[in-house]
Amino acid sequence: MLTLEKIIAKVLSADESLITDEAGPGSIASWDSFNALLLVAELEKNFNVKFTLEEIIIVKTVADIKKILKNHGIA
Amino acid sequence: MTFKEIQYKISALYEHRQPAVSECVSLGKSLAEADVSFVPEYVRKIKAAFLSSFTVQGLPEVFRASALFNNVWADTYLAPYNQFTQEILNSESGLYRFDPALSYLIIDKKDIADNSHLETLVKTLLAKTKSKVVIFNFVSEGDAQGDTAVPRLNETIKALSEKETRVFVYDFNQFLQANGKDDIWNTKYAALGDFRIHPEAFPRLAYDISRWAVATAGATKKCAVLDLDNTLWAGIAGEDDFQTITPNKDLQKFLQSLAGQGALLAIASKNNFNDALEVLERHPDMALRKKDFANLKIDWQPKDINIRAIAAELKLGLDSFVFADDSPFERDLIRTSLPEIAVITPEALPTYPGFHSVGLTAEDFRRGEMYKEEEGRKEFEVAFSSVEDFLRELKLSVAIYPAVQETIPRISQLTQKTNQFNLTTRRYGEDDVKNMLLRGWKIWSVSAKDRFGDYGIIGVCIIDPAADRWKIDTLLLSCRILGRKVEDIIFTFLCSEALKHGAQKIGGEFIPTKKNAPASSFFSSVGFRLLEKDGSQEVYEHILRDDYSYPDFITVLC
Repeated sequence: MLTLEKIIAKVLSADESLITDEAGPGSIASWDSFNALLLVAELEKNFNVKFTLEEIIIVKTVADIKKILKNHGIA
Repeated sequence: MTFKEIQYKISALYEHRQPAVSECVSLGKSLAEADVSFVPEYVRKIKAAFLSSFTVQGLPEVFRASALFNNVWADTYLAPYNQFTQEILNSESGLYRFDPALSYLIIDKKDIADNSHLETLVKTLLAKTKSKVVIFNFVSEGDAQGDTAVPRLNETIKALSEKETRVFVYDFNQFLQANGKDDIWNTKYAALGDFRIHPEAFPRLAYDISRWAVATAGATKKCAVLDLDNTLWAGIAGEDDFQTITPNKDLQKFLQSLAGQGALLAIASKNNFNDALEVLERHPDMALRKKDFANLKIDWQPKDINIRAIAAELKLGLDSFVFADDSPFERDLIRTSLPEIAVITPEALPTYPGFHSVGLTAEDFRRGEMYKEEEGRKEFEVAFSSVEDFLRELKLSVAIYPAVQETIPRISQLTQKTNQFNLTTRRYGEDDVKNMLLRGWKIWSVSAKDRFGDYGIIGVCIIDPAADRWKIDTLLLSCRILGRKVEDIIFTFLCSEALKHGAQKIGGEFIPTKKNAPASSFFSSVGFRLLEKDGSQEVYEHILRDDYSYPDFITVLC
């Protein structure tokens, strides 16, 4: 199982070092709405969870993603 | 990444039933940025436009990757979100500046006013471009009882496709059914950015619709090369019991229908020829038989060499081939050495889009027959020139050296192990070999190298040198080196040596066994005369000429 940061880096074709807790669509150029959807799909597949629409919409940073994953029982 | 690297990754990616969309998008983007000067000549270019009433962002990039899997370079255009009507009706639009050869119309029933709206769009597009138009059929869902909007729309496009040679209907409903409609159509992603088709389905969708890219670009595949064991049948011929071998009837029937549409079938398989042929010709559950194949390469040679030979003999470019094999090793070998060939798993054959063509001719239906007729006539001629050419490309080099202390063990081993290309099958221990040398017999080891590697010592030649008549006691070659004319080289060498030593004739026996059929025609093929023949052996002889020379396509060291 890949770490969250590795997955995000892969989907966004970005360097893993850029994927900090504060990173988000604002700070990473390739984090556009399309890649955001691909990210949702990858995360759902990798962690075997299903996110709701509300959860997806409110995400603004990597920290937000971590919070949501925690709610699904993933540390 | 270089073009070659992208090409390799795309080929490997499409081995998976569901390639990851992010990787496909990334490869499609890399392609667009790749240096076009390195794109091989066999890659054909087309321009494909995507007009959709909802978001299909990412699909064009994935389509580019799918197209390249079948040697098509697609430049793509994505019409602005839900502006398909404006793009088509406005003569100055980006669509017309792009001037596509192929246009995909992906429209949700909710976004089309009525049948006449749809017809106007298609007819305008046809009038203003030379484009082929592929229309996704309409998805019905949540329709009230008796709501016939979708069936009527689908009737309209069906009628259009029958009347217009440039209009085609893509059965999107069938795609949804085959891949899980609920997981793909109108999922929660529809609410996020209006992705009514789940992006994860893009790779499978793009792969399926790339059939029109193949047809439009003229890149339609002409020949499918199949493996035998665990591809055309479950089991291994020559190893498993005949009765336990189970022909894959569904796959074979599919291949029959392909052949019926003009595609050629060929075999490239590693077996003893007779073992494979037994199953091919005599197994009761086979749907395909030897006659259904335009070319068979059943031996122990590397498959890339055999497939090159098939291409040369059928006079087809390698880019018109698809290769199906259950072995990941063989698939990767061909993917690496012959990148213009589409490499797939056997399970992927029925959904493979590369044989799609637009309009079949009577010639297509007859092609299989024509090849068989041509083959009979030109077999020798074609085989000769093609073997030379690919041997030349192989950069084969053969070294024939007298036996020395270090090579005696290997020489002895070969006499004991080699069964197929062995004229006399005489088994010698190391001491036997040493004694022969002491007696004055001449023993040579034959080794070979080509561009793929060093084979080491793969042949042995043992001569009893009488003053005027040399006798071949042993001549054998490992089956790994057969089919490369090395035996001809040995013949030439022996004759030159015999001449040097003042002999006038060279003779030998062929002692048939259950396994050495591959060697049975050697003597006659190099021009020996049959002197006598009885139940246990055939005796041949050759009167030495004045000179012998080696062919130019092999390097000989001696």
